[in-house]
Amino acid sequence: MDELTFRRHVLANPFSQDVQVIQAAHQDPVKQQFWHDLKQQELALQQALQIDVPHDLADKLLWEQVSQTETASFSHPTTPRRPLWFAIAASILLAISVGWVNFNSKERTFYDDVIAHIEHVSEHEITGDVITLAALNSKLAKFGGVINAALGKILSANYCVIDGVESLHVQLGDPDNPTSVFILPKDLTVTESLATNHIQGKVLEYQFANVLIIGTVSQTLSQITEQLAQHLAFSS
Amino acid sequence: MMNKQYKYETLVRAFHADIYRYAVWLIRDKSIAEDVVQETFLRAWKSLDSLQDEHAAKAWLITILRRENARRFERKQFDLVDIDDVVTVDERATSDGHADTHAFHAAIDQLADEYKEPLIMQVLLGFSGEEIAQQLQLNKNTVMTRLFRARSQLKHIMTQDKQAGGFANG
Repeated sequence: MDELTFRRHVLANPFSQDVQVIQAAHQDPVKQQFWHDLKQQELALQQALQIDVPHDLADKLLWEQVSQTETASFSHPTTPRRPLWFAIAASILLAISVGWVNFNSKERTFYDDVIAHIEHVSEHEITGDVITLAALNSKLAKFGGVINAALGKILSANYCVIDGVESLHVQLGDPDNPTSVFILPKDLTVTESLATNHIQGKVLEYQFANVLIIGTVSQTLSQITEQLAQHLAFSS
Repeated sequence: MMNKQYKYETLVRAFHADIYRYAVWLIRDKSIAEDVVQETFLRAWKSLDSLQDEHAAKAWLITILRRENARRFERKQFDLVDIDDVVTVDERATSDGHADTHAFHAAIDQLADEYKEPLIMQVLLGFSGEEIAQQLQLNKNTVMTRLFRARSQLKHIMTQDKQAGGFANG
């Protein structure tokens, strides 16, 4: 392979795996050095292109979408892929909500969507990054909320949409079995408590917001609910 | 099958960083880039049902972003300003403080758009020659030539800078 062809090839694709290109480099130290230098430049270029991304950009994008599409109707999975215990839990949740449906028809789809969100999205929200209390409070600020003491390990804190309702979903505790906390606007009415064989939920009602806490371990759920009751406050 | 909302959230979380970075390099202004990214994702939300192949999601978003950026020029005829007044090297600084980063930013900005854009698509977004050709509506050979020239010019600029730095320091 002549010099020009070699250079054209590696300059177009510095990490080429083309056998002829590799052979040409092996046979010619000048080509090999040129390619080596080019790969170094490429690595530096890759690094230079990785400009910082605003840490809250994803949340802003989700928030913007919710704001712009408040009246949009949200579809639901027709054949949800849920484990059996989830299906049972969902059916019991729905049964509990039935009494409420007479008063608030929105509630049934709401809890269905809460479970769907926990099932489909929650796992992806836990990235392993450390979420500080300050970061959580900056997100809570959109709801007028603030937490004034550490709650233990914060696994994730992301804005999300539950059945068309803007909320903040926080996951706490054990990454393998997290407790979910949904910060909800006050205008959404939720039942006072939920309980099934596998999943339990509690509601903290504040003057300016509602907080839904959902988990599978009763003791943990109670502890987190107590902590939130003591340390989470909302203002208008 | 995920419902539309979960599909959208997944799309946002998976691709917002790459899309934003590409927008900043394309537009050269962080604030305008963020606006265009917002428009892009809103447009994506409205058209989400048309995204059939989820493996092609990134390319689909880039197509929308380039269209939204073009619309920006249709909507408003901006005054011509010097690039140096719009974005500075420091404004795009990365947090790692790599020694060559600033020099690279300046060097990339010296490339003509026709060379810079395919280069960024390849290095930042990981697009193949075929994918870049499709995005830019060029044939693949033209794309490969532009990539070759882009790196060739970049190498030249960086070498000149090092020599100039050497003289200055010497």
